[in-house]
Amino acid sequence: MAENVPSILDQGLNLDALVDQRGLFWDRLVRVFVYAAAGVVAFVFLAMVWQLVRLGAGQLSWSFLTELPQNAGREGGIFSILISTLMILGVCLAASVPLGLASAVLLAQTQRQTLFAILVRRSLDVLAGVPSIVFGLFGNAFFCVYLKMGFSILSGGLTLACMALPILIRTMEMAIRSVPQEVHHASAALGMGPIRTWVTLILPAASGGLAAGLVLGIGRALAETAALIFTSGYVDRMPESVHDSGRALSVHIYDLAMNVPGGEANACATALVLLIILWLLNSLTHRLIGRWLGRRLIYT
Amino acid sequence: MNPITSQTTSVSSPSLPLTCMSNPAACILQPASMTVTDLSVFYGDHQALDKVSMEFSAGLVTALIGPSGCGKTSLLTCLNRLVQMVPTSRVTGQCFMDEFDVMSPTTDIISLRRQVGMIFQKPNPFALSISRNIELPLISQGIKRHRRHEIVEEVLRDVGLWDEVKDRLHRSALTLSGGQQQRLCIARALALKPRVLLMDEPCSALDPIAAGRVEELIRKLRSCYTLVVVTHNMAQAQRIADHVGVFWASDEGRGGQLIETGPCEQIFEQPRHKLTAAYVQGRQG
Amino acid sequence: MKQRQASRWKSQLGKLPLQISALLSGLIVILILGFLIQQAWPALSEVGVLRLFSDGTWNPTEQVGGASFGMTAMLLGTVFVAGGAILLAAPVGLAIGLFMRFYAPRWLASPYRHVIQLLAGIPSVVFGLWGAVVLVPLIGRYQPPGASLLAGILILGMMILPTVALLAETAIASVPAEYIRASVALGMTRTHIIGKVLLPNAMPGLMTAVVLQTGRAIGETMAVLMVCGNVVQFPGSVFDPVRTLTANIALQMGFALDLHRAALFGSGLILMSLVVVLVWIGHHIQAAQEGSHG
Repeated sequence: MAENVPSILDQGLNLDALVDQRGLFWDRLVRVFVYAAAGVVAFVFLAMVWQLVRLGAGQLSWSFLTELPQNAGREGGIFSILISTLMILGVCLAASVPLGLASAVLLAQTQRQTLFAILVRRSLDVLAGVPSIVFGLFGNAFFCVYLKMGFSILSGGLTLACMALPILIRTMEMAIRSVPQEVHHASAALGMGPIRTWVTLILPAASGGLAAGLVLGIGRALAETAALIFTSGYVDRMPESVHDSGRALSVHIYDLAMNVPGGEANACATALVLLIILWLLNSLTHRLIGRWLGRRLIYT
Repeated sequence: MNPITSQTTSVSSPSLPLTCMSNPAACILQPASMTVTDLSVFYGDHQALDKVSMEFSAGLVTALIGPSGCGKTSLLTCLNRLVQMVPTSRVTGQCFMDEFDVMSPTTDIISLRRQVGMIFQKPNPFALSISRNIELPLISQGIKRHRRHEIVEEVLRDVGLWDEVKDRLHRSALTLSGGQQQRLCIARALALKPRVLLMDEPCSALDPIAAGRVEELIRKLRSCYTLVVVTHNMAQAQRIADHVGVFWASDEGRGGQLIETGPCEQIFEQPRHKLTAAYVQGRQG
Repeated sequence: MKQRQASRWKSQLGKLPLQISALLSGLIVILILGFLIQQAWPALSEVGVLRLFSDGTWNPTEQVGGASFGMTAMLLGTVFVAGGAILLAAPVGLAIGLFMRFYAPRWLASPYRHVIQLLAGIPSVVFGLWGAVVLVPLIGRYQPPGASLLAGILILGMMILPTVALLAETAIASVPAEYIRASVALGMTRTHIIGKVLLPNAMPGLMTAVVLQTGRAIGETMAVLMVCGNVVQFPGSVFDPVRTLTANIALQMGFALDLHRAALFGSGLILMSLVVVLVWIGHHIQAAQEGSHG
């Protein structure tokens, strides 16, 4: 019978009108606070987005995306910035995805109890909490100075790879763990080897979740600023290779807002571009996770 | 004043004898009879119950039997309006407790739920101490601490749990066995002095011995409370019920229907409906 | 027999690259810690840990009267900004979580949650930009200069609020539905259900959320850098500008040399240890929660 009743958890609960005379005052107080908080937060954030649009939308055009910045970014577009951002992102993903996927596969395979897994997991938790400016310090000392990469897209991308790793591993491990154990058993019963099982069955079954993890990692990398200032630098020229310094979108926003008088309009326009990219990625994540959950239902 | 709303004050009055099982004559609040007429339940587009009309007589045990998914639990949750916790739910038809309209928008549902208690399939004590479990809903009614402690002892004695737990009232309720947890949940409901007690398969998650004790308790509660018990167990229905309602899922996807109702012996010995006959015989063996 | 051994050997071999990758991922933290210590060493040994806190001022490049390396004012700046932000975001975030779960009308709950999710994805530099362009001039109109502790608290609070709200909602949603059903069936009122059943059960999750977001607030650089005014001083009021440790690093890394650079790495070390402690506390809460459920 319970199976006919829609799960209460799916839709929130209806506790309306659960008030008696004595509790009236407290109920009103809590309700007023909750509604006020919800209203104020919605208002402030709508105001924030609206003001960014008001200040920046005038600058947005096709040529803003395809022209090079001029006059320290006050005029012109953000083409070279976009290219640098993409290159930094490319380096970041090239380093973090193989490493992250392999680690996730291992962690998903091993029991929680092994000391090795516990240590790796714990250190990833700490890594996830390390402030981005500390990543910047580390990247500067390790990649730029110690490995002699200098201020370059390579240094920046590798620093971001370290930052994105925890979230990548965590979501990918969850995705792999969500593939039911029966698939392993069935495949083993059919005499398939472990590598073939993983490549042809487990990873495809987890692909939606893996992709979601990837998109989350990209989002985190695109939003990052502080770790990039002292690793990939802030030269706004067109980068010629990954050994050149390049300025990411977020660094561009910071520089225009703080160091370039009169750069606010273009800063807001760049912020809008960044927000649109991030929000597109966000909805992509949700679609992927939704489809992945949908697929999981078929299995169970 | 509508008695449904006046209940709060009468329960919180400390001079009331709380339970009547030891002395039925002292029972101030009589068990109430409940009547439903043309009751249908919908969850979104899905219909779970189709135009059910039946009566639950005061002080008697009514068992609701039938296959899974034919709306028995939905009917139960209408009687205390728990159904409206599901945001998409919609109920049509009428439901009365004695002469009071349960479905009326002016009904004080807090008070209604204090008068119509409910026991769930899976024991659901809060992750709190044993005594705190019983006290929490009483605090919600503003009953004083001293009186609460008396009530805890009274209801634990009523469900036969007092001797088992009196030394560990402050231990977590989750340390109890499944059967003890279910009896604690019944005690928790009794503490509110309900007039009707709804039980949704109260024994199905318990082992046979624990289930036997709960059944015994149900028989003890009879005549002090109106009991409505959903069960899948024919033998159990036969042992505990005065009246039986048989439900069946309709073919047109319009949810469960009541196909037969009557005294316990009649349903099991001379069923009038051929589905009832098939059902009770199929399960009796 | 031989074949089975071979296949076991093969699967062990297949595992090796995985183990190496996991080891590498795990080692990054050690690497970061090692490099921070190594780079900070000159400051730690020549200046001494004590002077980082006991020096009254921060003048690492001063030639005449000798350099000073006092970070106390900036550490306090960090604590004030992060503490204020969490004091703002925790109650409001909890209210938003309750709103999405219980108070919002049915048609609004899902779109509202979606908006909060979008807000949680706004990069800190965009918050900083909005703060610098809109909020700071607004505060400056009433209480110049505008770039102040207050601006930092507001911007940082706004920044962590959506995540706190989403985590609070998750914590509330993880309270078993049967508890709520039981309390409703027992005729408890809404305030009692929320206050006595929901929040106590959701408390470990809520605490974890608060602790982890405190870590995020302490480590945040850009938003704070852009709105706090960055003056090294003990703030006399919320309208005074302050500089946080993170902002200090961002401002001075570009030109710092020798001891100055080492001192900046030292402050990075302080930040990192704060975060490690917070992560540890968060884990402790989580472990206690799992223990009590099991």
